[in-house]
Amino acid sequence: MQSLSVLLIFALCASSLCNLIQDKQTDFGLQVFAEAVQSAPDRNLALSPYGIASVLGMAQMGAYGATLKLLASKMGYSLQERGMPKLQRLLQRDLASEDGVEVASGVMVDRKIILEKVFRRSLSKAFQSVPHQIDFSQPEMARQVINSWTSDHTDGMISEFLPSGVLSELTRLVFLNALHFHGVWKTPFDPRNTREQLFHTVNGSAVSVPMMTTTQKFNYGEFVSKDGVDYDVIEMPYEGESISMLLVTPFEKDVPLSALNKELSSSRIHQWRQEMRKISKQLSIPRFSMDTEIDLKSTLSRMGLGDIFSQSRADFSRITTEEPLCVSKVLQRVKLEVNEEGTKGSSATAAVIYSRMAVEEITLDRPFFFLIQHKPTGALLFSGQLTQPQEY
Amino acid sequence: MKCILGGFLLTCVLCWTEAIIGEMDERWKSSSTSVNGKCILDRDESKYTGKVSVTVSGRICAPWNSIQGSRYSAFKNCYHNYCRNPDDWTQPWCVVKKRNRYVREYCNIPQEAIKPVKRPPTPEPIKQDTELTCGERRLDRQTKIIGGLRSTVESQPWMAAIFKGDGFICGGTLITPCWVLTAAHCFPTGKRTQINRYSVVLGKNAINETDPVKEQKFTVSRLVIHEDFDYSTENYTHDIALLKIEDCNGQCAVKTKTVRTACLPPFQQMLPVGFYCEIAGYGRYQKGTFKFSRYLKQTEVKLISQKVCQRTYYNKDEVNENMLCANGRDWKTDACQGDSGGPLVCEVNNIMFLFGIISWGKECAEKNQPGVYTQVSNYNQWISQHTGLPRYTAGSRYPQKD
Repeated sequence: MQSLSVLLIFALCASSLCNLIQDKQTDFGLQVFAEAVQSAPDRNLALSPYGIASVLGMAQMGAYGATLKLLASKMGYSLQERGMPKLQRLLQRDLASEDGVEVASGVMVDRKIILEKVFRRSLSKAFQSVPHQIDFSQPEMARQVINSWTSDHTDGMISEFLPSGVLSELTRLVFLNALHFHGVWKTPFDPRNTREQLFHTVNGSAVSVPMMTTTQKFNYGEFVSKDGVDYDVIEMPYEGESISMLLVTPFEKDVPLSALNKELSSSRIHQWRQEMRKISKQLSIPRFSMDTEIDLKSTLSRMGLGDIFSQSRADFSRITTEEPLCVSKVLQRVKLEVNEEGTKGSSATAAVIYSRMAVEEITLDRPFFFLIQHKPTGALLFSGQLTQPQEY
Repeated sequence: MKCILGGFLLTCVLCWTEAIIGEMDERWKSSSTSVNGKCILDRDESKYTGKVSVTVSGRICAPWNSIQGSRYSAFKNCYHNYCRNPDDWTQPWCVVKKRNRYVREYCNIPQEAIKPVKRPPTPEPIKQDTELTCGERRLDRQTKIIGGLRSTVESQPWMAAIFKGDGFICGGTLITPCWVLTAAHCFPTGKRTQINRYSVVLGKNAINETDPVKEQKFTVSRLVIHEDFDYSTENYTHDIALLKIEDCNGQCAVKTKTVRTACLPPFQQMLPVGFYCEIAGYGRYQKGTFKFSRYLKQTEVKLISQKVCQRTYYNKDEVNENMLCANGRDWKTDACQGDSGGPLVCEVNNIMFLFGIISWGKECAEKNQPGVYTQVSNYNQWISQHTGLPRYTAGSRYPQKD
C-alpha cells in the first residue's frame, strides 16, 4: 500500500510536469511563429514549434551565465533544472514512435573545438543526441555532411537541407532541426470531389486551385478572439487519431488572417479542444504541399534573443572554454504535404443521415492557419499559414 | 432728378393721414388691373390675404415693390402694402422703415383672421399581425401545389430563412412579429452559439436571390434553445428553439402580403390521424443530390398516428410523445436536408396553425420512413414563458368545441 501511494504521487508529479514543459514549448514555438508570420504575412510558412523548442533546448545545455538566463526567461523554462532533462527525453521518445513523423535535431560544432564533457553528457541525457563535429573550414563539404545527416534522420525525406552558400569558414556552431510529416487522414477525401475553385490570396487576387471536399462529422467550435474577431476551428484527425490538424480561419471573409495571430497559444488550444463539438460539416480545403526552409536568426533576434548570435555577448562556455562561441544559425526545414489520401483500404462509410438541417459548408478559400498536434503529449509538430496554394 | 423725385414721394406717403391711405388704395387697384402678372404674394390662397398694413409697433407698412434689395425683387408686381407671410413665419409681416433702414416687423392681426396651417396627416402606426390576425394568407389557387413543387412565399408567408454568415442553414416559422420558431438542432454549438453570426430573412422566395420589395431582413438579438435538448446523442427530443429578431432600426416584422405570422394551436391540441397538412422549406429537392434547392417548395403530408409511427416505422426510443409523424403521398415527398426548423402547418377553418417543426427522419422520402416533427402544441407554455407573449400561445383563433 505504501509503495502504491508513492507510485501514484510520482505519476501525478510527472504528469503535471510533462504538461508544464510541453505548454512552455508550445507557447514559445508559437511566439516564434507569430513573429515570423508578422514579417511575412503574404507568404506560405510552416514552422515546427516543437522543433524550435528542441534546438533552443539544446542551446540551453551549452549556455552559461547571462545567456542561460536569457534563454530560460524567453522560453519559460530551463532544461538545466533538476528533472527537466528526463521530461524532454520522455517527450521525444513518445513522438519518435509515431508513424509518419520524422524529426531530426542536431548540434553541429567545428571539428577543432574541444568539447566540455558536461555538454556531451547533458545533451545525451535530455535529447539522446551527440554533438557532431564538422570541418567548417571546407564549407561545401560541411554542407554535404549535414545534408547526409538530415537525410538519414528523416528517412530520406529531406535530402537537401542546406543549399549552397549557407555555411562559411567563420561558422562554428549550428543548431538545426528538420521535420518531415506525411500523415494520412483517418477518413480520406474522395478525389472525385476535388475540383478547381478560386482561392483568394492576401494581395486581393484569386488563383484557381484544386479544392478537396468531404462531408463528415468534425470537431468544430465557434470562437471570438480577445479583439472581438469571430473565428472557427475545425479538427481533422489523422490515422491512429493521436495526431490531428487544427484549421483556424476567420469567420468573415474580409477579416485578415493576421487578426488571429495573438490567438495562437497553448491555453487557447486547450480551450478549443475543450469546447469543440462533433458536428456534420462539408469541408473544402486546398490540396497543398509546403517545403520551407527558414533561418530563424532574424526572427529570434526580433524576439530579444539576439545575444546568442553575438560573439561578444554570447556565453556558451558549457560547450567549450577554449574560445568564445556564438550561434551562427538556427536553421529549420519543414516539409509536409496535404492531399486526399486516407488510411489505406479505408473509405468514408456513408452514414445514415437523420438530421434535416442544411450541412454547413466551410470552404477555406482564403488564408488560414493550420496546426498539427500530437494529442497524447500536446506537442505542436507544425504551425503554418497557407496564403497561396499551388495553382492548377 | 428722378431719384430725388422718388424720395419726395415716399416722404409724402408717410406723412398722410389714414383717410388718405384709403384714397391711395383706390389708385393702386386701378394700377394693378393693368399690370400683366398678378402679385406673387397674393397667389397662395392658403396664406394670409387680409388688408391690415400696420405692424405691432404701430408703423405703416411700406409698399412691397418699393423695398430695395435683391430679396424683394420678386415683389415688383406688388403695389400694395398689406401684411403677408410668404415664408411661413409665426405671424404675417411686412417691411417698415426705421432710421432710414428697411426692417421686417410682425403685423398686428386678429387670430381668427389667420387660416389654420394644413398639417400633414399623422402616419399610421406600423401594421403588425396579432394573435387575432395570424394564420392568414392570400392564396392563389393556382399556386397551391401538391407534390413538393415550387411554391411562392405568399402561400407560406410565415416562412423564415435562417442564415449563418452567407450560408443558409435552416428554415423557421414567424409566430409573432418579433419571434421565429425553429429547431434546436439548427444550432449545434448550443449555448456557445455566436448569435451575431446569424440573420433571418422573411418573405424570401429563393435562397440565392434577393427581392427587396418582398423580403425583410433581421439580425438575431436572442436565441433560446430548449434546455433539455441533448446535443451529445442522435436524439431529437425537445427539438425546438426561438429566435428574437430585429432589423437595423430595432423593429420587428411588418405585416405584408409576403410576411405574416402563423397561429399556434391550443395547448396539446391534436388533429385526427390522416389529416393533411403542409410543409415548406428551401431544402434539398432530390435524394442524393448534393446541392440544395434554391427555391421555396411546399408539399402536402398526411399525419400518422404516433403509436403506428412508433411500432411500425420507428421505435419508442426514437419517437416519443413530443413528436408527430407525417408522410407524403405514396411516400414520394418529404422534408429533407435544409428544411429543418421549417413549418408543418395545418388549415382549420381557413386559418393556418403551426402544428409541427421539421426535425428529422431516416433519409428522405424513403418508403415506410415518415418525416418526424416536433409537436408544437406541447410547447405552448415554454413558448409563452420565453417570449413573454401568452396571448399568442392561447390558440385564440382555433374553433371552440360547442
